[in-house]
Amino acid sequence: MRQKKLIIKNKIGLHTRSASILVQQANKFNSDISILHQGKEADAKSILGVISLGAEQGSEVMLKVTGQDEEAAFVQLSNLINLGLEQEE
Amino acid sequence: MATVFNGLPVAKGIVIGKVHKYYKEEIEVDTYNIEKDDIERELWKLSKARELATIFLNSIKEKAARKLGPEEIKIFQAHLLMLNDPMLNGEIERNVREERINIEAAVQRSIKNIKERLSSIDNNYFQERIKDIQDVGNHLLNALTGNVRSLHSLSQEVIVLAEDLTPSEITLLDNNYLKGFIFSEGGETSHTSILAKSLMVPTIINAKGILEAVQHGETVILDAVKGIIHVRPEQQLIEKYGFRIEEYENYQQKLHTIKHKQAVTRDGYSIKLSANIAAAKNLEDVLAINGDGIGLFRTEFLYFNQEHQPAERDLFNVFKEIAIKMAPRPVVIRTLDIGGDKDLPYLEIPEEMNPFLGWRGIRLTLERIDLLKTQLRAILRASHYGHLKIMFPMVTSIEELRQAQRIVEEVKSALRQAGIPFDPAIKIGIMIEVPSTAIAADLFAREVDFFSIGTNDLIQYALAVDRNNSKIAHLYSPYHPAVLRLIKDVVKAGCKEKIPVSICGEAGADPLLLPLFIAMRVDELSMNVASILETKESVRNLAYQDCRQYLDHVLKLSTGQEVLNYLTKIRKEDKPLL
Repeated sequence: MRQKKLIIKNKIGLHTRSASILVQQANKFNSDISILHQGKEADAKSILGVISLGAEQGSEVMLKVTGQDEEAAFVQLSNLINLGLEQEE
Repeated sequence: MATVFNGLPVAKGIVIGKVHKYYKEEIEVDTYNIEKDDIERELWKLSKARELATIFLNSIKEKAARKLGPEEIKIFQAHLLMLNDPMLNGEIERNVREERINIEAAVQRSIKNIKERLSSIDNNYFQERIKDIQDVGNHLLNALTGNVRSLHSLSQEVIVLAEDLTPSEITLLDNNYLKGFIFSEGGETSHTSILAKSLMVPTIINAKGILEAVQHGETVILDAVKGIIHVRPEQQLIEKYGFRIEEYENYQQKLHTIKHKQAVTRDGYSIKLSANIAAAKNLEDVLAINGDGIGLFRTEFLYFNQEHQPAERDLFNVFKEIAIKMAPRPVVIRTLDIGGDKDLPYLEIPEEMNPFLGWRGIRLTLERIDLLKTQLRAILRASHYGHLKIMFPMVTSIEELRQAQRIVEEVKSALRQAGIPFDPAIKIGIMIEVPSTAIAADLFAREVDFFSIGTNDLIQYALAVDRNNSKIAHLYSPYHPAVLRLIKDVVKAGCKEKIPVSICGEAGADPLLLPLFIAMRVDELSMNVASILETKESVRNLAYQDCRQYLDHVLKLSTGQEVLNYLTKIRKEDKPLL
């Protein structure tokens, strides 16, 4: 298992469109991926889960990845979050 | 049985057609218990419905890509992810398996639960998004009940009937098959009206009670000349309307023959007739009828349906396109007018008790200098390619005006230093829409290049009538003597300083008020494109000398009703058309 604390940089936080970018990327991996924020845990493959964390700009989240392709998933997703989730699909 | 409904026509025309009833609210479904053996069948129905809804959403997404742009696709991408979301589908499945309820009810209940969970997040933006989830739920329920009824793909010509529509719903609807709009709600100056007008189909708003009285697929006659809707009309009436439609179309054709003629009275007084637009795509319509320019470009619509404020480059591209296409005709670009009834989630405007008396227009942009500067840079850069003018909304004091002018100068000098070309003589004007500015118009006239009277707000502020409150809507009147005096004095102040004065509110297109505006010597009327030729026809039938007499008489009248009666009478005498 790999895990790391990250900061949400987008202006509005983990909102619909940026959550959608994250979830699309997470869906490409087999590993179990979750995002933790203020005691709540969400499946990173569920857009409703990610949105319901209500993580706003500047808040800290924990990325947790467990599974066969955890190394690749972990690197890609933490980069994506660090880049502010602006990446085009 | 034929039934008649009344409403306010905001885009003229007459059509007969079938109603396409559009709901946004929760869809009603029956709840019943199922047997254990039925569980798998119910879940199979869910997976089929999900496939159907996915195909459907993909088709909307493609359409959004063609019609709107990459930013707009993302919201549909998010809807697709919600549709296939493990949390949603897990919850639906649990409801079917454990609660033993039918699939439709399980979907309904799960959507409701998720909405409630999201409602607890204390953030305006997330509150906004709750309707996305309802949307997705509706797609699923529509697919389950075989009741796919959306505006994105209409299969035959229809008259769309809804309570109201959002700007993006109107943008995305299938206008190949759109014959008209009937809204049961809405004000004349709401965004729905403004956008419906730009689509140039007959539209009636505020048709109270009609939503309950008409079924999907029923035939109606939409008479948006008189503001009447006939529901389930008898054959005789349909035939009679056939003739009226023909008559109306002949009239419209006749109007098109005057598009290259000037708007000039019989005795030689001329007035400019420009268009109010909200998007670059409306330009073609303005050019088609040979409008004199753009008297009001509402920039707000460039800021809606976005996650964050548009980049300078995107604004510049829109302004540049407009400048080039309209050149040498002038285009007045109004800086962002947000607040009041227009909100942008990403600006995080705090809740206000009285938003119309609150943080809106220039009050907001003078504090959010980043927004204002970005917009001004884009306008100034684009001014190099045509004839652009800058207009500030909601100015109430000279201090605000001067501060805004200082910012324009700052942006200009930054551009100069960077060697970026712009029109150094660009004209700067203000909207006159607040009584204080109207009353002190002589002071403002010395410091600006032009005035544009925004009657919609000026009336509501002068009469203290909230234009969106249907309880007091009847008190909102452009014929009120106080309103007419304010307008007259503003025009006079403009004339004295030799700056042009235009009228850009709804009143600008009112044929009853036209003789008064001519008599006051208003330089320009700016209105929705569909009203320009008709107004031109009216101008050409009037004489300036007569108008002077009408105005003298009107100024002696004591009530709005007397003014209205008198103007209606002279209009009938002057113009027998239709």
